[in-house]
Amino acid sequence: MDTFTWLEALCTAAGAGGLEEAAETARRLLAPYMDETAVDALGNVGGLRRCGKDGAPLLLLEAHIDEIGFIVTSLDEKGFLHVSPCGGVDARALPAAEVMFYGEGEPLPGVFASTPPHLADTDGDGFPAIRDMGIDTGLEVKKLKKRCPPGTRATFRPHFRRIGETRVSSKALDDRAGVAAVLACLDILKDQALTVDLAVTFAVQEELGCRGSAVAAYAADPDMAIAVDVSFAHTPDADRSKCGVLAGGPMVGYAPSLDTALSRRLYALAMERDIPCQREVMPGDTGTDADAIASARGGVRTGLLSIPLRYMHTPAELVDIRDIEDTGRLMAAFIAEGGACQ
Amino acid sequence: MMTHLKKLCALPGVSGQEDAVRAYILHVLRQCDAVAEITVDPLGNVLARVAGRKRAAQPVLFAAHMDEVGFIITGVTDEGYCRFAPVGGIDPRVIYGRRVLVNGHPGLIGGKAVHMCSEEEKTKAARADKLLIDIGAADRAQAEQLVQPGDTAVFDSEYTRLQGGLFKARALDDRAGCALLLALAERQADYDFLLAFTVQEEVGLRGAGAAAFSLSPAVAVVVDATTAADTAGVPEDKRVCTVGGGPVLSFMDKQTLYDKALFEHVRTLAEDAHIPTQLKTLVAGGNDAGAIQRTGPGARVAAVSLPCRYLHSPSCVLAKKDLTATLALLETLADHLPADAP
Repeated sequence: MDTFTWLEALCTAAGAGGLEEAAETARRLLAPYMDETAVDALGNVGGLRRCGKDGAPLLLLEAHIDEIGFIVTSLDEKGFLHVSPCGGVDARALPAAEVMFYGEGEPLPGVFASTPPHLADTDGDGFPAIRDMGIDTGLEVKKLKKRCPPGTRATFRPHFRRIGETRVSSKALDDRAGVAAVLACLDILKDQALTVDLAVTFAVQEELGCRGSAVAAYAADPDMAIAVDVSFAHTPDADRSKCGVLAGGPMVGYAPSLDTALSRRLYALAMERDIPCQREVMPGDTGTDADAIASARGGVRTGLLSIPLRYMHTPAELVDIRDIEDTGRLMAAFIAEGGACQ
Repeated sequence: MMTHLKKLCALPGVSGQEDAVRAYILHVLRQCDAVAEITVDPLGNVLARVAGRKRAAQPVLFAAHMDEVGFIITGVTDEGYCRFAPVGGIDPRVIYGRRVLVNGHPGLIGGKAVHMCSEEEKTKAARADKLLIDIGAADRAQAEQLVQPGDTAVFDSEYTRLQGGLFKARALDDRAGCALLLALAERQADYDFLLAFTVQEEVGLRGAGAAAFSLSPAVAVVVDATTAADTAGVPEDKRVCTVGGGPVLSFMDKQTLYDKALFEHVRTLAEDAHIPTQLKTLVAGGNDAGAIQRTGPGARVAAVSLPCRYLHSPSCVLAKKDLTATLALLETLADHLPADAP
């Protein structure tokens, strides 16, 4: 399988707020590279590959499998579903956006109601609150109540597209791109003898506050960890100093919550191996699972690689496949040399 | 009719570039036995004379517009993005985060991540002149191989069946009208009638005037889509019309004060044939009737509209039964000449 195929399988699966399809897909793709895989009480997917040497250090590779989405809170008398976001949904992208509800029976498509043009003059350019934006499915109230009771999860409707030669657009690239990077790393290493044991976690509930990774890191009990997430790729309207560059390679995180020696080693290794790479400096924690992993048990030396991504938390995020592959190559190089860093 | 509609909604046809839609319509008309004469005028309007069982001294004109709202590319940036302007009335709130097709090439409209937005930026829709289309190009040279200023873009949104007999697609305004008129041409009517598939409706009813001049009808019926605001949070007096309520008859909109006798003629025919109709209950919007009414010596006009939710957005929603009822009404109209003007 190639990165594009992995991504397509991962991104078109549903994984918001406890939906399991994406985790099942990720486990299926992970299993061939692992000695064993498992799913824990929260739904985190775990895998272990032993190197066969006693006392070998355990390195954890982590990416989150959940995505932003919605949960049904109520149904109004006109038959419109009202939802609360799961994670930091970009409300600017919601009017006329397409969603899929995963309730009883087959997934049900719907569209966010948009302001009719003749009402637009009075409303100006403001957006209603997400809870006030109804979602239209066409289903009558009585049947809708059965198909999508409160608590039903929804995601943006999957549309996976190649954009230009090396880029793809989809929902949920945050953080299926990270999952694909871990798979790309494992694929490079599949026939190599290693000197470290490898644990892999595809964590749930990152978008709700990095909840799954804390539990997964406790169970894995690693000696060192690398989390792979996405971060901001520059667009012309953004502050250049706060962004990475699309197709500029993995963004190596430097932050108080991360292990500085590990950050430096990853960056230096990328330079040595001619892997495109950039730095991302954060002044406190990172807002990713890396923070939760670093504080698991008695503390874990943790690094963070971020894949540059445009249009985060919208129905159409965008990444460059080469950044995912370069992230996989950098991790593979680090693991192949034994995960050494002082 | 649904086959025509699905095919028509898949074709791009932003005002001024209706070529693909026109080609499909010409292809269908040429296979209709009753269609006696087809012309394409200098603006690109498709005009046809359809023979009925009996001659009509003053055949009724049925008109629908081929064009749709969309975007025109105004330039390419050094970074390989496309600058664009909306063509026709597009609410700025349905543009952000959307997938588009520029000359058939997939692209995205987005900006910096919501995480980096100020409170004001998060809650206000960005104006189109501040947004860019990302077509995956790395720089200006790559972008210019795919796109040139003056090219057009449409929302990338396919036909999807919703529940309750509703469906969602792009450009239902007014491909639905075009599909209905094609169905009308495929049937033997009692009297001769005229057809006009017009261009440039969305940029100010610019095609219909020329079409009406060439055909000089005494009576015209315009078939278009109109706003159904029967959605969450819209007060009763601003709903305009309701999806599923049948074809919408207009007495007045922002462009036209409709002919009273013709309005009654349409309403009576519908009642006699037990076809449900509803009134457009807000003086808003406008359609080609405004141009046809005031061309040459003037014409008596009526509007038979399809109640459509989320007009001018990528997710227009129509009910199949409204299409069926509208077709039945148009067939009755083609079989019954209105009384002469008082």
